[in-house]
Amino acid sequence: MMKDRRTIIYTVIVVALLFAPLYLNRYWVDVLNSVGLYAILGLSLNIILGYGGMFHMGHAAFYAVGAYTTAIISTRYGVPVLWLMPLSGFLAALFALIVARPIIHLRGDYLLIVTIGMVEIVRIALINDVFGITGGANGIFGIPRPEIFGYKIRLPHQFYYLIFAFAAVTVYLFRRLENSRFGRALTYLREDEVAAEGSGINTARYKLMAFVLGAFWAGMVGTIFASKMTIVSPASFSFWESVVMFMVVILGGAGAIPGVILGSFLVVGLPELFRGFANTRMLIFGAAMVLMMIFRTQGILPPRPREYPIEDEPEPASESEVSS
Amino acid sequence: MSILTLKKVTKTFGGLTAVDNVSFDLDEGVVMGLIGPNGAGKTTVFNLITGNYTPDHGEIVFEGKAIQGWLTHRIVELGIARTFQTIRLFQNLSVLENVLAGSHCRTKSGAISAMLRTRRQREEEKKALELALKQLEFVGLRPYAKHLSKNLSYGNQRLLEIARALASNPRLLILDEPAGGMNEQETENLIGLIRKMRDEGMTILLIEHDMGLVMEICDHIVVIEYGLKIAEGGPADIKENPRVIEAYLGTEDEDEEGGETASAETMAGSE
Amino acid sequence: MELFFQQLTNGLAVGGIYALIALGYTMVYGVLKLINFAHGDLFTIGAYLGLTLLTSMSLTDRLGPTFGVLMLAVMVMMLVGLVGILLDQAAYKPLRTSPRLSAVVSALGASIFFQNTIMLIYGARFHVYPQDILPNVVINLFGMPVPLVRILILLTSVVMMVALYAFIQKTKVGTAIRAAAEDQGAARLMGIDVNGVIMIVFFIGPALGGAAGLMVGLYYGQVNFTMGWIYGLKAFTAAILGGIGNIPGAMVGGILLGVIEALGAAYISIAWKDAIAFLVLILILIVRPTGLLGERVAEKV
Repeated sequence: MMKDRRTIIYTVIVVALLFAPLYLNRYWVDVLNSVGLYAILGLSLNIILGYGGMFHMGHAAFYAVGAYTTAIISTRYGVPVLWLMPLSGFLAALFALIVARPIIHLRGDYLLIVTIGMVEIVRIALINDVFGITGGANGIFGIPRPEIFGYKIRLPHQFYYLIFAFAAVTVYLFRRLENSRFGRALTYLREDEVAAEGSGINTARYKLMAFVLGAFWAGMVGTIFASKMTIVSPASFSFWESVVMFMVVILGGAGAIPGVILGSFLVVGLPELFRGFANTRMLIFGAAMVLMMIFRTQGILPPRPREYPIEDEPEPASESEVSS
Repeated sequence: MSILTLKKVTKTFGGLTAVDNVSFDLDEGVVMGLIGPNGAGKTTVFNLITGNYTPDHGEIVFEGKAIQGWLTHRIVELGIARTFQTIRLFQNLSVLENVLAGSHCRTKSGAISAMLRTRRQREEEKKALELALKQLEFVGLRPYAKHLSKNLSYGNQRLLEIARALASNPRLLILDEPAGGMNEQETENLIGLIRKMRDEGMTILLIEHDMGLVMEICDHIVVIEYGLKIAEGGPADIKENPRVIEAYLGTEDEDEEGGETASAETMAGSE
Repeated sequence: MELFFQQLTNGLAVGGIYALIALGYTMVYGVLKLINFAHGDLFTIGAYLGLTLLTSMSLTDRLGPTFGVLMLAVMVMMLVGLVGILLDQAAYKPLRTSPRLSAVVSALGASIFFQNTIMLIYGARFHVYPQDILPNVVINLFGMPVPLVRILILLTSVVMMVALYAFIQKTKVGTAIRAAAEDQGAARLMGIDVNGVIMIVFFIGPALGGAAGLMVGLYYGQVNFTMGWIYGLKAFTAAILGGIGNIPGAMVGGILLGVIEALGAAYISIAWKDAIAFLVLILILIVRPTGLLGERVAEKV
């Protein structure tokens, strides 16, 4: 019954999203585009932070590596941007593999500050035009628009469909990931690292894999971002960007795909709704975040237990302590 | 036919020698008890075998391989599984998922095959599920498969730890105070389980304060005190060993749960 | 040599400021295991309150520079301390039993709230501190000229740190704070009023942060509503560097970070100044995963 209700709600949302650009103006479609991008970024961070429980506040670094990869190669060698998605993802993943390896054993808050440090170092490196290819503080201009079968994507509503198609694919794949041996291993790790290792799970490897996979996806989002803006600059990848992604995951419900998507609507979309309040909107937004955490401490839509195709068996009558 | 051998294993923490030059052999198919007063270093011995700690000196050999210094998950992969004295279940996950954790090292599919949901992945998943249910059936927790593990009774949580360990298909099972917190009936049931596992060819090493249980099911007993092995032998020998009796009586008043005291009295009485 | 000496003293002064802010992070963390991400904004509030009180009450005219600034500092510390208590009551207290990350997001929300409140009141532009408060004197130290302000800043932060350390080590309240940091449950069983301790910690930490804000205003002469982020981040880095939860660690971490930054900026590259600080942090944590003075906690099995 609950399940039927959920199906109906999700169907309504999907249909509404499908037709949204038809009855929204350019401005709001653009807002939804940002929401979509942050939803995908949030889902990629969710692998590390939500499933794996690792305090990672530097996700913008991976996003930046992807966006800059696309920007540099597309402007220098004229490679069509969408072709660069896998490469951007790959390089972001490689970067994650290299930087995460030495820090992966750090606990909780130590990992948090180190990942913040990582994103700051990346930003400073970009400003200082590292290797002479990042364009310094001004960034890189003239990134081409994506093309699909000769159809050029340029307008907000065209990007809308590109972004939400990618989001849909992401949700589809990550749902499978969540309900798999890989997804479970990360959850065990979050729940109790010692018990996970003691059950035969290579915890160090899974932590690293979570970073690699999350970075891969963030790198691919970087490609879309770069081609949507046609310009990338260090200002787009500040520590604050990482904080926004972090909030998207925790506010919505760490470890829950619907939660993260809702989180991105709230964190990215909500301030836009307060635009009427002009100057006070961010103030209201800050207070709203505090209140939301107080009233829904597990996030707005916390994860539900995984479901398995097994039959219920009656409990023996003698067991009385069991309750839920 | 020894499956596990400890050779002069030593572990110190700061200035404290927790395990001091301990050696013993564990034969295949045997139930061995590791006993000693509180703080004698029993759990440390377990942690050394399972790779949670690395010994300062000495060798730990499992089926001919020296495993000291290995990472825990590799040792589990090799065939040693354990339960924890302070129950360490994945509290917020279902009973079934706790058992599935154990089967992790016997399955292979990774992130990509999960996203593509390949045929092999689906088959593997199905098999893991079946196996997990079998383990739950074995320890008698099948009806609770969908419950959250934190909602189980204390005794059932201990059984769930055993089921999780069994799911990794071990040849040596290490139980750290499996009867801790169990009532009499649950303990009886546990004894039956341990016997059944042994009859299926499993080797079992256990720490237990319930001397009744130890004397009933252990084929061989090693006694340690202050990190040193002070005695070794069959239950009958151990009961009569004066050093063991002294060690136990010496700690009588320190024992908060009374379990040890009672058993020490039993031991003294049966002399 | 001249450059080295100048950068060293500058680094020590800035490091002292970092250390004062870091103490707020570390004390709150010690007792609550919470990273108070709004702490940097309390520091900003201190800077702005200092500016307002300075210009509106003309304390230094009435009381003379020394006593006026002292009076000012006391008022700023009291007020920011009160804001700290209010912050805890409103944003953290309801989350004591929640997952730790929920409290982190609440802290981030509070930070956004504070930043935008300051911006609404004072506007987004830089504000300039009156330049004639502290004597613009350069004194001669070991044959090198050093601005007096710099020495005063360093001395003040050292005095405050010593006072705090004595308070924590020698007084009954300090003992209660240490006990609560060690084990909250046990402290409560021993009859320690843990809620009271939390309140004191949320007063002292922000009060020190507010003092640091005032010092930055006096030292650099200008303030901005976003300054709390970068100072907060640096101070948090310092707290982690020293080993979070550890009070001497925050002091050592702060001073060290200030000096590393100043020398890095002078001898390596000013453009990479912030990156150097983080790089050093990362390298130290790789070698010592719980910071310089942090205890190594072995996971109990």
